[in-house]
Amino acid sequence: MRVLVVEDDKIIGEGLLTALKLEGYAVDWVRDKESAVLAFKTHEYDMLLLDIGLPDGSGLDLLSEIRVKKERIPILMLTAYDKTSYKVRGLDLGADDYMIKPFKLNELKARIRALHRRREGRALPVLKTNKVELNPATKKVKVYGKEVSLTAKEFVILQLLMERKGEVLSKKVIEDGIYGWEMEIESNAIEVHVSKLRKKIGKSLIETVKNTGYRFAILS
Amino acid sequence: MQFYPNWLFNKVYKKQLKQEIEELADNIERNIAIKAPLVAENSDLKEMYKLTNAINKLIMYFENRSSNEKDFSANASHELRTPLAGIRLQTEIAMSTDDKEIQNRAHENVLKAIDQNERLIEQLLVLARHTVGNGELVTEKVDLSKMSKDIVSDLQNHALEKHISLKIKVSKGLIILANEKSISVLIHNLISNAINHTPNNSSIRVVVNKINNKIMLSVIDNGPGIPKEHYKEVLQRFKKVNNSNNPGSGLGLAIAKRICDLHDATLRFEQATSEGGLKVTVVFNL
Repeated sequence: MRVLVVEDDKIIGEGLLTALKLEGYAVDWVRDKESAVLAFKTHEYDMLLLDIGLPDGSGLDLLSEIRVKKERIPILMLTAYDKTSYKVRGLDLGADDYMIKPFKLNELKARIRALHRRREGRALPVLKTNKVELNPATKKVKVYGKEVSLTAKEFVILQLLMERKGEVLSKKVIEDGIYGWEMEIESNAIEVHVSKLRKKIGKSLIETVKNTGYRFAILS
Repeated sequence: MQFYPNWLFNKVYKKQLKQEIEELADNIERNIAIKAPLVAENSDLKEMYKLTNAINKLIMYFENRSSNEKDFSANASHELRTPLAGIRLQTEIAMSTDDKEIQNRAHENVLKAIDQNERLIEQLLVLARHTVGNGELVTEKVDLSKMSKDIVSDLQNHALEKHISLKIKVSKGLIILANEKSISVLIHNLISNAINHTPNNSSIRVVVNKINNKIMLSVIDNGPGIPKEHYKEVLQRFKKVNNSNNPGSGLGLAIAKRICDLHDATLRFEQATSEGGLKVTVVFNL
């Protein structure tokens, strides 16, 4: 999952970048409206965290602009304005959720998971097949009922594949879902992650589709 | 009414006046409940119109004041929550990982956010001290020349961090009658404001001199300046023009203005030279 953080405060912005990267997400952080618009032109995002008070205008204007162009992206507003009227305006302009600063990191992460789940069209928090069970909240994976320990990146790759069960995901799509733009990526990084993941959960669960990408084995 | 004898005139007049005052009182109660302005209806007395207008003005004054106060507390709470959010977030990050590098960076950020909060609280306290107890400042003789020099040397390190050249030119022994602490805050705010808002490698000059019956203190920089139309705006509390990267609280100039007002001094903005820059001048009347 790739997240765009629009936040002008250096300490909060850097904190969100670090915290969400630790979750295994791909995160990009910009500090004003103009850069946010540019980011949307160059990348596809699965989630937007948006501050209201930006140096070059209101986050609310950006909100309506983005909502028109990207109908499905979950948008979570983050702001230090605690007035109800602001919340109502934000939600009515198309935000999906709203948190007031200072917020608790655990709650923010849970809301991000919930928004993502809804966007994927599922209500059940745990992803399940006959063989594999993946819990995004606890970061635990069970294969045939036995817990296996994955790195943050391996976890996110498995989650991506399971959410798109039966679909072939290209390396580029997986790459965009786990690396933000400031990270250097080795050309074979995805192969390396997938091969380690296979060793941990069993080879047959992830198929390689020649010249295209990977697929979570539909029969499992 | 001239046809009435004096005693009768007084009686009629008093009766009418009594009636009008009672009506006005009823009007006030009724209209305040529905927040409508008062209208003096069908009165023969032009004084009633004058009184009604004055009452309307008074109501407006208090309404503005209370809405300013509401804005102020909304802004203050926003400004206080932001560094607090940073402190909480960075602390939670440090606690959630074993990575030493991430932990160290988070701790540095916590300290930065605490500094930011501390500065803001200090500024709020200064503002509060100068707002409560309207204008009851204890004044004494203040050596403006010496004080300006001392503050400039205190702020040299801050200027050096941005490779800014900070120079001062003063005429000796310029004395004003003022509150020493307030004037020190005023000069400090004006100079650090210049340091915060000019780019690296700029230069700032502080000039203190006496012209006729006025003592002037000017802070002149060669930074980007402020567009004329924003001069009034920057004096408002929490107003930041072009705020993207500056660490200020948005209160420095509002405090400066308040201190000037309390000392019957004027605070003036102008473009420093034809090429730009900003010149901020405080004029003390002797």
